[in-house]
Amino acid sequence: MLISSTHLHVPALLPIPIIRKLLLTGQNPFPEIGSEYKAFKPFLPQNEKVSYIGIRPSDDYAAYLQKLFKAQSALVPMVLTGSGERAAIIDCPNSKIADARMNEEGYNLLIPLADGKGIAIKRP
Amino acid sequence: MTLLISVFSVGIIGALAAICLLRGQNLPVRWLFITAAAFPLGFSIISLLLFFTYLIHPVSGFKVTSFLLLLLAGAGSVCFFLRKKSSKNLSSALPASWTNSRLFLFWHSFSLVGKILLIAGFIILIWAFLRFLTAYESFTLHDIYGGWDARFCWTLKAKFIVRDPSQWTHLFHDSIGLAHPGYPLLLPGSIAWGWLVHGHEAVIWPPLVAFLFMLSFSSIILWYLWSFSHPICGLLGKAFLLSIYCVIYWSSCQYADVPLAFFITTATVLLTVSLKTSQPGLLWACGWMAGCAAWTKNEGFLLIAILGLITLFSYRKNLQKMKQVFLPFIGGLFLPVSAILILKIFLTEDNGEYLDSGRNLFDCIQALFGRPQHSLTILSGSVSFMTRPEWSGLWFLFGATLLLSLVVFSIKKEKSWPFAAVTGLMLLGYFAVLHLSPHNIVWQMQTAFHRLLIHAAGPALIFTFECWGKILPPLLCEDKKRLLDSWAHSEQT
Repeated sequence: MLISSTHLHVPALLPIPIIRKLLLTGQNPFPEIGSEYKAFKPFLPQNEKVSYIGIRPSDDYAAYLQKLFKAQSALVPMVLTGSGERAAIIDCPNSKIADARMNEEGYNLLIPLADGKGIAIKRP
Repeated sequence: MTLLISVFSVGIIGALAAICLLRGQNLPVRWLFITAAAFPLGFSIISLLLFFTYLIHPVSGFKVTSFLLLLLAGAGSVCFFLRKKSSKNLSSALPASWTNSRLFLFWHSFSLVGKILLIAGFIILIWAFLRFLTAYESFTLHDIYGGWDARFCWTLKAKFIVRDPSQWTHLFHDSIGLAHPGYPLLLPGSIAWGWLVHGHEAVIWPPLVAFLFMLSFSSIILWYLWSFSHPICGLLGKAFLLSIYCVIYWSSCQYADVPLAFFITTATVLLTVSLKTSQPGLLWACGWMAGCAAWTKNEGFLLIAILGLITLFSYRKNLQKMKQVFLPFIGGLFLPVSAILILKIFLTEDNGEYLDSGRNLFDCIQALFGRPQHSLTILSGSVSFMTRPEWSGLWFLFGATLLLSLVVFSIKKEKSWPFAAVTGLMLLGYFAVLHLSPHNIVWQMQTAFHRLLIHAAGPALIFTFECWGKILPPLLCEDKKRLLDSWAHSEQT
């Protein structure tokens, strides 16, 4: 079948204080897109492209893209590329996967930030 | 406070620009058109100014844009006070049921049926608007950053403009290819403006921009149907649009499709009014709106081609007149189209999966006509999407009206055919383009087809309601109508 079944669903209203907070105080009660990637920023080179190494794209392309773009959104104006830059952000679910991915792409871990996460440098 | 400054700066610039664009032209219920077009016009001017100033000197781009906007506001105010009154008599172009903008001053002139119909129309519109507002607020607050394209294409580009102007050209980088680096910048520029005025990335601004575009989209339909068809059609047309699930959902997703739908509808409306009232000067505004459609999304180029064809067809018997008409149309297109050409030729190497596909004409013809089974899949998919309950029967109504109009409503005589032509040709164009998609066609249609339908929804809705408006009774008592007509005529002369 070309299209799935219909969903004419409208979510329930959110409480008024959230709207008031947004409109009147300008505060953001929602988590910022890619806020978890802000921790990488101080360790990354300025005015230089940086590679993003997460899970293997062929394993789950949608999840890989989602994370890549969250990181890109948080790290603007830095440009994230697939691979090949001098420095790379390592963003894997655990250190085992991170080690495997760094071996595949030819990077060494330079600054570990959490399990499976850190800054890596391209092997000479 | 800064939220109000952002909103008002856009609205005031847009309203003054609308006044300037319509200078010397006669439009019924002018204030409603200006109100409906103000925000999108303001956003288009601001995004273009930001683009050109960032090209010249990005670091001071915001300051220069603000200064230029002040100058434009001054020039617009002068234009407002030196209004040139048109001597154009519109009475031949307006329908018998027409009531002028001073509606409520003449409340006593309406027949009883007219009064009941008007009250019912307003009640339905208010109900539909409140229902829309509730749904929009629910969708927005459950996903404040919008859908994928809103998060990772439109607002992502705006972040490049805002965070470090000296590095803003990174937004055209090939590496962020999925964010469509070659796409035009009306929406990112509009979002960036609010953020620059705020001084931070205010989370409420992108949904507010989407909301303003949606309000303008529905209001332009109200204006046209109220003025050129029947006031009840205007009220019901706007109410119908605000109750279409697809339109509510995609507007709350903060995608560029509703802004594009606004520019497509307004450009078509202006062309039709220009043909109906023989005012070629309106084609300046029509050209600007069509150019802004292309400045919103690449699909706008299809609209420019279609409007160009309609203009050529309309003036095919008078070459001299055709030249006079084409000049303002091209003039209106000039600035937005120049910006897109600069962006596509000098700033980005990635022009998208269609333009950069490397296909030649023969490949395209082969893709279009060489796979009948593929064409059949696209056709059956299109019919399935159009008949889904999310559209509240709009496409069924449009199809039925189109068939009927060829026999009963005589659209050619009424000059409302451009709406049907734009709807038909846009859909035909998308049908052809889907043949060239590099993606799996089922995935492609699931992802994009509803949004493509939104682009043509405005002209389709106007055409449908305008045709059915002919069977509605006039609102005014006959003797009062004669009196008002003579009064309106004497005021114009």
